[in-house]
Parts: sequence; structure tokens; C-alpha cells
Amino acid sequence: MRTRTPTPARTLKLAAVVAAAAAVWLAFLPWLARQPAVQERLRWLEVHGIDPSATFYTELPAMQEILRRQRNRAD
Amino acid sequence: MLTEMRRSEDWLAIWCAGALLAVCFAAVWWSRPERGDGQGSEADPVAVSNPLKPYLAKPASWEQSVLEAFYRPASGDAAAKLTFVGVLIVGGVISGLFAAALALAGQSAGAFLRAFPWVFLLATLAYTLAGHAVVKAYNLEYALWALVVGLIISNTVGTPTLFRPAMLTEFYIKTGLVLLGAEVLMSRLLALGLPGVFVAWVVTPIVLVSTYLFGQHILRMQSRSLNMVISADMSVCGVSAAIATAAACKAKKEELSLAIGLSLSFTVVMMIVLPAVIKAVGMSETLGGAWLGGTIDSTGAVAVAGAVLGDRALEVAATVKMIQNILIGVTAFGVALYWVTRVERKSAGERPSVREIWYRFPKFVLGFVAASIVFSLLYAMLPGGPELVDAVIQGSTKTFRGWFFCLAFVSIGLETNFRALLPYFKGGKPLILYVCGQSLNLCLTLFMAWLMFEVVFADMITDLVPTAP
Repeated sequence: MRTRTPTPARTLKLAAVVAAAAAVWLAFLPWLARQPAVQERLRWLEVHGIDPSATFYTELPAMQEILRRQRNRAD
Repeated sequence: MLTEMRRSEDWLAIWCAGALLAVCFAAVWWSRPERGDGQGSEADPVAVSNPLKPYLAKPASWEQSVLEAFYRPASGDAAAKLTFVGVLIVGGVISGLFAAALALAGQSAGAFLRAFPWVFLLATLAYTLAGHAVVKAYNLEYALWALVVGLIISNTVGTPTLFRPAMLTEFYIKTGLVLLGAEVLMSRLLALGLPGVFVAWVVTPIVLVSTYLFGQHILRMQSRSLNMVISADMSVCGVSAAIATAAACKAKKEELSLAIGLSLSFTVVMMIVLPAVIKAVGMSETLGGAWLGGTIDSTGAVAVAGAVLGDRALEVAATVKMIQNILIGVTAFGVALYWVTRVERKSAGERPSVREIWYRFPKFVLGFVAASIVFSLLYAMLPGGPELVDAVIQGSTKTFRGWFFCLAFVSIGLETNFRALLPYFKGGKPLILYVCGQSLNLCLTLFMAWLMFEVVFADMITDLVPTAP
């Protein structure tokens, strides 16, 4: 692994990236989440029990209900 | 052998994950409600809860204020949620467990304990970035942000030396994978009957092997391991398959990062385009759902795409993807065996002995398989097994597993230089491999789904997936 020494230029680069990320996550995304179309989408996902970022079936809330229905049918 | 079991990372991962699984299961077992008359009723499942659940957490989903990720005040009947307490407890448990493991292996636990809070803080930041509702809505998973957070630091001011004792990428991944094994429950294989098995377990290996061979013999990919990881994440189930396969074939960290980046990029596109195509051609919900489940890499994206078509499509899509998730164990085992017996052969024609195979075989894969077998048996054979196992997974082990993977990706980002990624983009071979493999996957999955759901088992489908859930 290459070792880098923090220099003023590199520290400034990091600070710029952090500032940009803060602007996006603390200002832009909350504003976007308030837009009616986005709100509608987010509520639709909530109602259906869908976590779009789920990486495995155990992380999907909707899957618990689906598995419960399948168990009841099998019984 | 005993020294290896005390010092090797694979065995330590098995012990750490095994300890967590045992403690979590014991907590659920001892707190389960007693049936008054000792006679259970299959029609009346026991409500089992996990007493550890309130104390283990990751940053919550948030929309307006980042503080929502760590604290929600009480409102109406809902009590206040102190997520930050759960986050701190998880951090404490992981640091204690790993420090003990490192001490057992004769390594410096002190250095690890000084470094871990920083790496854990970065993982918490990654989870927080990934937790914004709009970011989640586009399937931009925590793995991506964990990589980005690490990469930003390593490629600007440089990774502080202080962090390095806690940048234990492989250890985190192996421990997380053994925990994941407990979520791979064999009884779920037949959730959609034979049609589901054919779509998820027949097509997937064919696509995996065909794409790998295409990469080796036609594209002539320089790196076999990169080829294998891309083939697996595209054909099986995205990030979790990429992690398991990369560990099984000892892929480089840059290769895992690249494979995940490719998978996430195409997943977002497919999540939007495929449902539109299905609606445009008038495909049935069942066929469309099966096609989505067998082709879109990520579980969350599959669910989004399925729900756009309807409840039946969502059920079929999510179930097909779940059956593919179960294939991860077999894939990791098969890839590890292939790598040890064929790829790592010492010289042409010399077949390794059984002892050599055992020596070189990644032991954590055995831990993964063992966890799957044990929890599958508990699920099937214990009274109230499904409720008990679900409570263990949903209330505790799933949370730990996610944290281990997040820590692993932060560590990868902290160790990676942007320039190290550039050679992999040369010639565009990884992209061509993914596109060609996914095209085969789309065609073969559609054909098999049509054959199974609309021809061979068409009569069974209404029983398997009723029209009105």
C-alpha cells in the first residue's frame, strides 16, 4: 500500500469533497425528498415493504409477509 | 492442525461468527414464550421475539435530518428510538470479539482496539450516506458508499497509519460470510416448487459457467478471478455473491470493487427498463416476475421492479431471487474447490492430493456451509423452528453481518489507490463480459421461465401463486 503524506493541497481536496458531500446529503437530498413525486414514490415503497437497497432476501421486509403466506398455503 | 485452528484467519472467522450465532440463538431460545399446556398448535405459531434486537442497530433510514438516522423522538404510541445506542453496542461487541481473536492468534489486540473506532466511524458514515431514502430508492447500496468513503481518504490525504491494524478486509468478509450461511435455509429452495428451482438453480449455473468460459477463451481476460467474480455477481445475486465468490477464489480487492461497481450500475438501469419492457409486450405477471427475479442482480431492485408489475409479480420475483440467494453457498464451495484443484495446480498435469486440497481449501467456506446446514436443520426440526430462526436472523445476526461487510468495504477503499483500478478498465473487457453474460442470462432465464411457468407447470401456478394474495 502506497503511503501518502497529507499536504495542504491534499487536505484542501478532502475538505472540498466533504463540503460537496455535505451540500448534497444535508441540503439537496432532503429538498428532493420533499418533492411530491418523490414523496409518492417513497410512500409507495414503504407501503409495499420494499427496501430497494436490500442485498439479501432477509433484508427485504416484504419477504417476511410473502414467506408467511407461502407457509400458510403449504399448511 | 490445532495451531492452524487458533491462528489462521479462516478458523478465527468461524469461531467469531460461531460465537455470535450461538449467543444470538441462545438469547432467543431462552426468552421464547412457554406453551402453557406443552401442546403446540401448528395453526397458532408462537410469537417469538429476539431480546437482543433493541440493542443492535445500524443507522436508520432518514429523509430530512441526518439526526433521524440515530435518534427519533417519541411520537404518538411509538416510543423514542435510540439507534445510536444500538450502533455503539454493535461496535463494542465487534471490537471485543475481534480483539480477543487477534490476541488468541498472537497478534496485537491493543493496536486493533486503537484503530477500530476510526474504521467503525467511517463504516457508520457509509451507512448514514446509504440510509437517505432517495439514495436507497435507487439501489445505491451501503457497499458502494463504504468503498467511496475509504477511497476518498486514501486518495486525498492518504490512509493514516493508525487505521491499518483495523483494516482487516478478509477477516471481516469471512466472518460476515459465515454469518450469512445461517440465512441460507435449504427448506426455502422449494418455495416456488420445481418451476422456481429450474429458473433459479438450472439457468444460473449454466450462465455462470458459460460466462466464465467466454471470458477465458474468447475475451481472454487477464485475471481469472476477476472473470469469476463478475460471472458470479451477474448470474447469481449481485453484491453478496460477489463477496462470497471473491473470497472463495482469493480475488484482489480491486477486482471485487470493480465487479460490484459494474453490478450496481446495470442494476439501476434494469430495475427501470425491464418492467417497462414486460408491460409493453404484455407478459403475464408470473412470467415477468420470474424473469425479473432471475436476471436483476440485487434483491431490493428485484422487489422494486416486481412491485411495479403487481403483487403476484413481486411474490414470484422476490421468491426466485431468494432461491438464487440460497445458491451462494454452493457457488462459493464449487468455486473454492475448482480454484484449489485446477487453478492453483503446482505444475501442469500434477493433481493435488486430498491432503493438499484440504490444506489449501478456504476453511471459512466450510463454516458458511456448516452454518447453513445447522440453521436449516433448526428451522425444519425444532418446534417453532421457523419463528425461532427468523427471530435470530432478523433481530441480530443480519445486523452483524451487514456491519462486517460494511467494515470490509471501508477497509478496501482505504487500501485502494484509484490508479490501481485503471488497468482493469483497459480494453473494456470486464464491461463486455458483463454485457454478454447478462444478455445470455436474460434470454435463457426468459426461455426457462416461459417453459416452466407457462407450459410445463402452467396448471400448478395458480396454486403456487394465487391471484389474490
